[in-house]
Amino acid sequence: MSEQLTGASTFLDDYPEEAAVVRAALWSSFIALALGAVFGLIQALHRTDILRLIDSADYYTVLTAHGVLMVVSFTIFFLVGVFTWATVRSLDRGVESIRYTWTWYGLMVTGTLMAVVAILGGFVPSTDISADVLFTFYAPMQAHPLFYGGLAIFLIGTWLAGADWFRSWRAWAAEHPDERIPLQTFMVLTTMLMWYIASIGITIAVVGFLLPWSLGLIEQVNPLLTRTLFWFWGHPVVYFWLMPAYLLWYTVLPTVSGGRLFSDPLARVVFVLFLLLSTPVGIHHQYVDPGIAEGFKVIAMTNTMFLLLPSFLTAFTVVASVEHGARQRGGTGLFGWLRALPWRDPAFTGMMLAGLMFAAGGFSGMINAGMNINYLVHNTLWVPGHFHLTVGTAVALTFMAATYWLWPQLTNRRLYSRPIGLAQVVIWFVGMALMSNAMHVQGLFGVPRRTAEPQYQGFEFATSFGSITELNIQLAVGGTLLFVSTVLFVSNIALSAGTPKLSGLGEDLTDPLSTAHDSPAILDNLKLWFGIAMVLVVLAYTLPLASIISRGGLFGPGVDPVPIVAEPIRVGIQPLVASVEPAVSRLAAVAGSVLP
Amino acid sequence: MRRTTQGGILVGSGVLFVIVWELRSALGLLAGVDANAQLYMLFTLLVVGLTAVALAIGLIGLRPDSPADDDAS
Repeated sequence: MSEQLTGASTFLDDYPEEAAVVRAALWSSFIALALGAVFGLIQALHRTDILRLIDSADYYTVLTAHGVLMVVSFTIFFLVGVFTWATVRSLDRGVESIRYTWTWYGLMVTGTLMAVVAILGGFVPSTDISADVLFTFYAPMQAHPLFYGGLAIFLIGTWLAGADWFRSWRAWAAEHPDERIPLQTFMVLTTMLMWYIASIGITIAVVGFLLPWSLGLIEQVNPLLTRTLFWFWGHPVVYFWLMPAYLLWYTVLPTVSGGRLFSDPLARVVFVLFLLLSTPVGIHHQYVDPGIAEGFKVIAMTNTMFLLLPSFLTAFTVVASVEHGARQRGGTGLFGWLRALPWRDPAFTGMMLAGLMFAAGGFSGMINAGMNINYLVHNTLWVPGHFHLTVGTAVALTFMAATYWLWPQLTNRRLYSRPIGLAQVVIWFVGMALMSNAMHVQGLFGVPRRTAEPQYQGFEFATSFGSITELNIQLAVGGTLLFVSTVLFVSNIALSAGTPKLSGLGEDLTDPLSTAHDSPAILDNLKLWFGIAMVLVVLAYTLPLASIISRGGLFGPGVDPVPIVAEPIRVGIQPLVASVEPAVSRLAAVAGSVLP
Repeated sequence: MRRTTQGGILVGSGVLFVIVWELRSALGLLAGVDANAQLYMLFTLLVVGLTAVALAIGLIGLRPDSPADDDAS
């Protein structure tokens, strides 16, 4: 298989210092992926009772390690690498201070190591360090302070990374006052604004409650409050994982397919919508929480359904761009153009398969988000089946596929093997289809998630077809294929270091068919969108949080486990009314004395 | 224009496998058809295998118009 040299300079040629940071971030991501895959395989084989390498008591340590390494370390390290590349590339200027850039990277590594040490401490009975709290680390489960401290430091690292990209943009904007924000930078900045808003919840949860509680500074916390604050962040973090994948679909995939992005303005609209809508939806993770009134859950459900809009816009825009590429390559016919696409290119095929899986994940996500039908699948294996399609494939497979395109430009070396890369993305697709299908179906049969012993001492689940045993085998086979795929990916990248250095491996991204100038300039008004996003968050969360605090206390003990069917609005707004009452009274008194 | 290629057969086989295998779940959940897992897997592999072989030997699909069409992507 040949690879044409374009003769263009690479990112490494133009920005060697920044390329080193991007490579370091991506390697951190891949190491987390490899470790997470080992824990994932152990977990899949254990809970299906195919092969038990650990004691069931250690299952939650494995589960936590798998979750945290995959969805915090793998995804976010990749994100900061790609965002650094995208910002520097699209602004065509280096970072303002490379030392500052290495600083936030160092903080993220430090935080990760602290959290991972705390988690792995769970395997060592002689130490009191453990963090078997799963990725969803809200109370009442408690971790060692090292875990929360590590998370806090990691979070600070991501904030500083965002500030780094904002600094670059501001410096660029000062030199280009009349120009629109380059698309990739626009995507990076809107994503980070969303991240800053989302981080409010988890910061308050960790720094205000979980860490002091873990240190023994406070005796108890309100579990529902920490849980709600977690999901304040826990759903938008899904979009934090997804938006770099979207960035790659919008800006790299059209080029790889031989075409051009269909519409720059539409891409900007999508990212603005994600900024606005990602955060005020978190309560849809809490449909079965008894302490939150149904009305707030309905609002969260409605907001969540609005989030389908940017996803549908993306499906349209990306497919239109790819079709344009196919027709540029000579493709014809209603569907015949599909044959003209570069299916032998692992970067293209991986991203396309990831997009296909994302469509399936979107449909199962709608079921999760539907308040009544959610009760059927809540806390069943259906839910991991869903997020292995979204973050586990749409995001993870896109990241791996994009690496096949990006890596030569960061290293000036060709990929070790493109055929292995192609096989790797197909194996991931098949493995995930098998595993996720088994998880979804088992979920419908009522098999629970988050347990090492789903069989509950011989309890037989009723199945409408097949058997739980064969679904377990399917799950284990799928999980094993995913592990093999991960090994192939990491090996391929590692072995690429042994290929000879070349020049001229650079690949420019093509310009959109419809450029930024076709869209209103207000789309680039980041302050406006940030302000509206904050207002939406305040509207969505003020009353639920006030209600939770007024009923269960800021530091606990929390609410009774009795469902609130229709809580009077008065109860929710009582704390607010009480807080503004004195000011209103004074205002009324002043007005009374002034007016005749 | 590039037509049937080994890469395309690999990708297509993967997708076809997933579609045919997951039809079993749809049949089971929606229509209550309890297809035997082992036999259905054999059926799936047979469908995918025969399709791949037929594509590879040119029985179905489109052959490259010229050697240049079979170029790498």
